[in-house]
Amino acid sequence: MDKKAFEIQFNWIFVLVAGAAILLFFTAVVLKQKSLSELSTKAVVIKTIDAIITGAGVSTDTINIVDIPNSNIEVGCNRAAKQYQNLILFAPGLIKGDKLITQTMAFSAPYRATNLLFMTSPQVRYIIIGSNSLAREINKSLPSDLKKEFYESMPEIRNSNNYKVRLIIFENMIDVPRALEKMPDHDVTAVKVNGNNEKGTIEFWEKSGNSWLSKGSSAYIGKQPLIGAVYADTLEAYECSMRNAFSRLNFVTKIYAGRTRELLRRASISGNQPQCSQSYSSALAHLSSISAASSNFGIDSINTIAAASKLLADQNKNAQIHSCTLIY
Amino acid sequence: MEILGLAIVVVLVLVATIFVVRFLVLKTPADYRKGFVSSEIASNTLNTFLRTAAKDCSQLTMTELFQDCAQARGIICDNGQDSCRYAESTARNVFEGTLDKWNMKYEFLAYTDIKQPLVKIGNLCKAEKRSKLFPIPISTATMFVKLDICG
Amino acid sequence: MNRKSQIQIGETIAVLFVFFILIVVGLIFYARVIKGNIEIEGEESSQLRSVGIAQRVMFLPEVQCSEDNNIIDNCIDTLKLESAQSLMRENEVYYYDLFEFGNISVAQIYPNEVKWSLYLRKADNLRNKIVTNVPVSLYNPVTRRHGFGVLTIETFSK
Repeated sequence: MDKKAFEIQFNWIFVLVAGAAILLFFTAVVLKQKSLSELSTKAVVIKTIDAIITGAGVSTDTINIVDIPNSNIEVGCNRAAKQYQNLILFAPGLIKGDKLITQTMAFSAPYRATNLLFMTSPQVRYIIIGSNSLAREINKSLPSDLKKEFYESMPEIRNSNNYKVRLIIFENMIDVPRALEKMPDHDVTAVKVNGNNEKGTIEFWEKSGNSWLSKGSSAYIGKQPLIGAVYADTLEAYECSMRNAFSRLNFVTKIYAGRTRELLRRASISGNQPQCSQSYSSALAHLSSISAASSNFGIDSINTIAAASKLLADQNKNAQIHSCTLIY
Repeated sequence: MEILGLAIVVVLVLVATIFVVRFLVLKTPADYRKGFVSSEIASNTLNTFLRTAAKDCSQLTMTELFQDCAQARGIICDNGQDSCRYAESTARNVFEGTLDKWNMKYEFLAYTDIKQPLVKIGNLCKAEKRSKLFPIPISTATMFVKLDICG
Repeated sequence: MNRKSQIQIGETIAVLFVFFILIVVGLIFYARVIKGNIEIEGEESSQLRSVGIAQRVMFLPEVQCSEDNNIIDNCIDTLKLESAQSLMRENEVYYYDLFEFGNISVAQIYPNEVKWSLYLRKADNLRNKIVTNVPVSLYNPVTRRHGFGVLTIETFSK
C-alpha cells in the first residue's frame, strides 16, 4: 500500500471514530433527556393528583376538570399514580387522556365523616338505564362534562370508540350490547343497583364474550357511595375505598361519642333539662352501634349504621326541640 | 476574518449565558404560602374576632358591641368601659397575641364614615396589602369593620 | 504519512477536544441550572405541602364545628377537640397519612388562654420547619360562645 492510500484510509477511520463518538454522545444525552422528561411528566401527574386529593378533603360538592399531561393513570386500592395509606377515591382502574374529571361529595352517616372523591376520564362512557327516581337522581348528580347517556329502557347501543364503557342498570339486567362485544372484556363493566337512595345492594358485572360474568355484590349507604360504585369499575376498588371511608367514620364516631358523653355529664350535673340528658344517653347508644358497625365494611354493618343513623337523627331533632346543644 | 467569526460566536454565547442566568439561575421560588397565609389571616382574624363573645359584657359578641358602638353606645361592660372602648381593648389584646407576635403590620378600622373611624388600631399599609371588609347592619345605615394585612 | 497530513489530523483532534470541552462545560452548566430548579421546586413543593396540611386540618370533621350537620367555616368545636386529642394520639399512624411529619396545636387567646396539642410526629433528620398560624373561632357548645384561637401547624421537612 502506498503512502497516499494509507493516508485516505486513515482519514476515513478517523472520521468514522470521531463521528461515532459524537453520535454516541448525543444519543446518550437524548436518551437521558427522554427518561428525564418522562419522569417529569409522572411527577406532574403525581403532583396534580396529590393536589386533587388535598382539595377533596376541604371542599364538598365540587366538580372540576383538570388538565394533565397526556398519560395513563393506574388506579387501584390505595393507589393513584403513587401509593397512599388510606385513599378514598372512586375511579376506573385506568384513566387515560389529558383531562381528569373530579367530583367530591360528603359522606355523612348521619354526620359528615369524610369527603368522597370521584375521578374519571372524559373518554369513559357511562350508560345509565332505569326509569325509577333513583336512576334519574344518579344521572343528575353526575357531572354534565362526563360522557353519560340516560335511557329509561334498553336502547340500541353503538360503539363510539371509548376505551371503557360502564353500564349502570337500575332494573332487570340486560344483555351485553352487540356493538360492545368486540371490546376487551375488562373494559365493559356494569353495576346493577337494587335499593333506594338511603341504602341498597349493588352487583358488579364484567363482560365475558357476549355475556355478563358476575364479579360479586356489595352494599351502599346513601347516594354518595352509590355514585362511588358508578365510578369504581371493580368490586375490589369500591370496597377498598368504602373500607377506608368506614374507618374514618369509626374515628369521627368516637369523637362524637366522647363529645356526647361530656354533654351528658354536664347536663346531668346541672340537672336543669332532663330531656337533654335523655337525648344524649339515647344518642350514646346509637353512636356506639355506629362505632361498632363501622369497624368493618359489609352489608350487615350498612344495615346497622342506616338504622342507628335514623335514630340518631331523631335524637338530634329532639335535642333541637328542647333547646339542648345538638349532638352533631 | 476568523477573528470576527470568533468574536460573533463569543458574543452569542455571552448573550445566551446572560439570558439563561437571568431566567433560570436567578429564578426565585414562588411564595405560595405567603399568599395563602396573609389572605387567610385577614379574613379569618376578622371573621373570628366578630364572632367572639366578650367575657365582661354579658357574653355579647364583638359584632353586637360594634353595632352598639355605632349607634346608641348604651352598653356599659362590667369593667366600666363602653361598647366602643371594650371592643377596641379586646381587639388590641387579641392582635397583640397574634398579628404583633407574628411581626405582621396591619390596620384595623371600624367605621360608618371612613374619615372618622370609631376604632382604629395599627398603621396604614404603604404598599401591598390583603384586605378584608365586613359590613355590619345597623338601624340607620351600615357600618364596616376592615382589616388590612400589609405586605 | 506526510507532515502536512499529520498537522491536519492534529488540528482536527484539537478542534474536537475543544468541542467536547465546550459540550462538557455546557452540560455542567445545564446540570447546575437543573439542580437549582429542582431545589426551587423542592422549596415550592414543601410550601404547598404545608398549605395543604393546613387546609386539611381546618376542614377536619374530627374538630370542625357543625350545627345540624351544617358545617361552620373556620370554627373548631372545643368538646370535639378534647376527644380528638386522645384519639389522634392513639391513631398516630393513621393520621400520619394526612399530616406527615408535623406538630398541630390549637391555642385559645381570648377570653382565657388554653392550649390543646392535637398531633405531633417528628424525625431527627428533618431540620426545616414551616410554621403556619391560622386564626380560628373556638366554639364551646355548652356555653354556646365563641372564643378567639389560633391553629398552629408546623410541618417538618429535610
